[in-house]
Amino acid sequence: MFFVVFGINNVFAQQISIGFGYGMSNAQMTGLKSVNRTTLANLPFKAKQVENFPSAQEYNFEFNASIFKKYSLGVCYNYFSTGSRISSIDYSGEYRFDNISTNTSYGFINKFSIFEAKAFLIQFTAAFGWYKSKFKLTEVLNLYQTQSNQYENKFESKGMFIKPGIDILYSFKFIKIGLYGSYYSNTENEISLSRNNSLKLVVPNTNHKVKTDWKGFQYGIKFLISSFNSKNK
Amino acid sequence: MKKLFFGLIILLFYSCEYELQDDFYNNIDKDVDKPTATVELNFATDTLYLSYPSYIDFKIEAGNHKFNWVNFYINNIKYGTYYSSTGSFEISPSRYNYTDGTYQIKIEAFSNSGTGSIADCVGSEGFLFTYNWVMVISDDANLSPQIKKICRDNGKLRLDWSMYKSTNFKKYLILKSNTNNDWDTIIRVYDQHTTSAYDPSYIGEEAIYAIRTIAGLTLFGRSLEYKDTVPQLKISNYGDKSFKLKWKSYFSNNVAGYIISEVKKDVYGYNYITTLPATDSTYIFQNGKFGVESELMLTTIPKNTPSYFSDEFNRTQYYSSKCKGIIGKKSFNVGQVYVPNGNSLIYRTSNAIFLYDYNTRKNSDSLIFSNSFQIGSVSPDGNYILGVENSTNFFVYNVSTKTKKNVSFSDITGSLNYYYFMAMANTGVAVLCTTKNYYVYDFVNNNLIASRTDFDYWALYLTISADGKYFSNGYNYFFKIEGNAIVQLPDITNNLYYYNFNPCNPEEVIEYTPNGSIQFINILDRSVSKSIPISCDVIQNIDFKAGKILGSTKSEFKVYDLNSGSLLWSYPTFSQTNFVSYQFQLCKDVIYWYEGYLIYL
Repeated sequence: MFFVVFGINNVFAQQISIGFGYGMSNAQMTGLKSVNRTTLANLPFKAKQVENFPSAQEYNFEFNASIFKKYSLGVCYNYFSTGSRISSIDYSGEYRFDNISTNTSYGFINKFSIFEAKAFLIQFTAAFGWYKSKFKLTEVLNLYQTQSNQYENKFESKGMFIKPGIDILYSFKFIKIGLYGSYYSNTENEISLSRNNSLKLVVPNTNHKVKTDWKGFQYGIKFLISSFNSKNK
Repeated sequence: MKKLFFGLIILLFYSCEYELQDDFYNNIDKDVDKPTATVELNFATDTLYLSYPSYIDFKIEAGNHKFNWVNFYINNIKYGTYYSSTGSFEISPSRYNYTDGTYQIKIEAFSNSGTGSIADCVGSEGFLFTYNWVMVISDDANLSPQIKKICRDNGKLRLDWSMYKSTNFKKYLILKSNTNNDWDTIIRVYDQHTTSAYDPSYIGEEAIYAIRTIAGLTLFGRSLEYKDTVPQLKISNYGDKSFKLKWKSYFSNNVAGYIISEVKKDVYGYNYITTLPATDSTYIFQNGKFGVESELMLTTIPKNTPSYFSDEFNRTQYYSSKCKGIIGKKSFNVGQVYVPNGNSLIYRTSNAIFLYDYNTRKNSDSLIFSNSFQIGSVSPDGNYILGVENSTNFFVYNVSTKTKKNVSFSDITGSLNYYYFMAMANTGVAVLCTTKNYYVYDFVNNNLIASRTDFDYWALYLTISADGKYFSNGYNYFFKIEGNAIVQLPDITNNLYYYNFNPCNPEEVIEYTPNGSIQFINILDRSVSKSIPISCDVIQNIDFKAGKILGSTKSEFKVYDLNSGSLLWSYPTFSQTNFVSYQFQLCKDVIYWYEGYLIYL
């Protein structure tokens, strides 16, 4: 499909852009937060949820070409990572239950210019494609520096995503700088053990299967480099 | 260059994995004191007795501290680790690993420290408590409790048994039987440490006890017999017509009451008399039967009757006591009492004859014998006592002169033939009988008056008229002594029963019809001077001085007025056959029984 688009672009495109984005993203992570709550409640000692999937840095990359005057099409890549920790440290030892979650998305991005005035450009963006999530769950119990128990399990999940958004850009020659905002939504799929897909991550006690939930807003700054086609001249 | 640029971008993305940084530091005081623990074991003693299969139930507590595991050692070899969240641990040594015997066991219990630290909460920090015991593994039968002692205890029967020392105790059952076959559970004890109890049904009877222990398995103890004393009836005369019954219960707490019965004489059974409360221990039994031995029975009624005593016969057999007694005041201990028409009655003992003045009620005279003797007759006026001494002599005692005379048998008949019957008249003349020969002899003058040897039958008994001129041989045949001849008078029987000569009229005899009348009949002309209606079977005797007739039936004594024939008095008795005349003698309102008892009218 990418090559089809490029084929069209070769006929009608007037401009090609490569862009990078950096910003913040939050995610609901409903199922994993439930895992944390239950784990915390089951601990026999006093502990705290010190981190619980906070807003974290988000990176994205896109490559697109204008097909019509106000419409361009391209491919995109998105990377987001967050995590959680249940912690307790006292004189006798320490306990940690860490979860590092990363989400990688790639797909197509559509852009519609909805406002242009001099150097300002406002675009409605709509990305869709596939995502792949990875979860690294690590539980550590160290006692009196004599006993050390560490359990690490890796999980993963795959699915589809859609991300509508808006870019507000300022053009300076062939460079565009601006802000972006979008809402990321994904299909909620079960999370499986990486080394054995038949084993699913469940909420302790209830045994409800945990599903990916990256839904949330993303925002940040965007930097684009554009090139001009000779047909436009 | 462009490719390298994109590659670095992607690598950058991957390297930007989220980093967790925060931690929670929990400040906890780690200085806590070792708590004091309390231990419970499912054993009744400090030594742990185990039978197969059983287990050690170990429970330890120390305030809010939790015990999560224990180590169990047998003879210092670790047997296993046991886990629990409640502080209770069930330890089961395998029956196949250990033979019967004594073992040293140790239990190490580990509690949390109570600080709340991570190590404390996951069971890696705490206090160790160590306990040592001796464990005895033995066969079930050896651990079975046994009844050790059965004894009286303050009005109850106490049973003591050895304690069940092993585990899984549920209850003791105390069983009771009288036959070793039919057992009744009389006591249930649910406390293992309780090793004594009282039999609420025991009142002294013969019984067999056994203990059965329910403890997962059922353990049977050996049976033990015990016999004490049911309340024993004691009887004594109370006045002349009553018995005083006494008894004592050693198990009064278990007694509901008593039943007094009289044992029937003619058939098996009892005549119910009364029921008494448990607090009673005496009873006055009035109007007992005179002239017969009475047997009374005390049946103790327990508050709780074992189920195997299903019928009255069983209960009577085990719970009853019998005692015999004789109504009447103890009187002359003799076999012969003579009531002549004088002031004294005459009785004998083994070596003497006594004259008893029934006015003063004291002995007035006595005649001591050094040889064997037998009273044969007393004259109607009581002045002469005729008898046989040493089987060779007659003796005659003159009461008024207090002189005794001996006459040899051979002096009368020329031989030493024994004289079976004799009758003495007021004159000192007596009629004597040796088998079929009759002799009339004057003991005052030592003169054989008459004799007759042609009779072909023996006399039943001999009676003689007060003047010594007539006699009877007991067959309603009457004879008159004419000179030196004995002449038989015409028969006057008329189917009447002969009683005796009238001591007040020598020519009159007294005869009677059972349940008909007494008639005074002249032996010469058969005229009847007096007829008195009576309703008795036998005339016992007539007290001519008091004017009273004593008669008897099988169930009653009756006293009639000699003149009017009215019934003056009656009293119960019992006899399967009619009494014989003269067994009872009425004399001045006293009835003497030749067995040595008297009652007053």
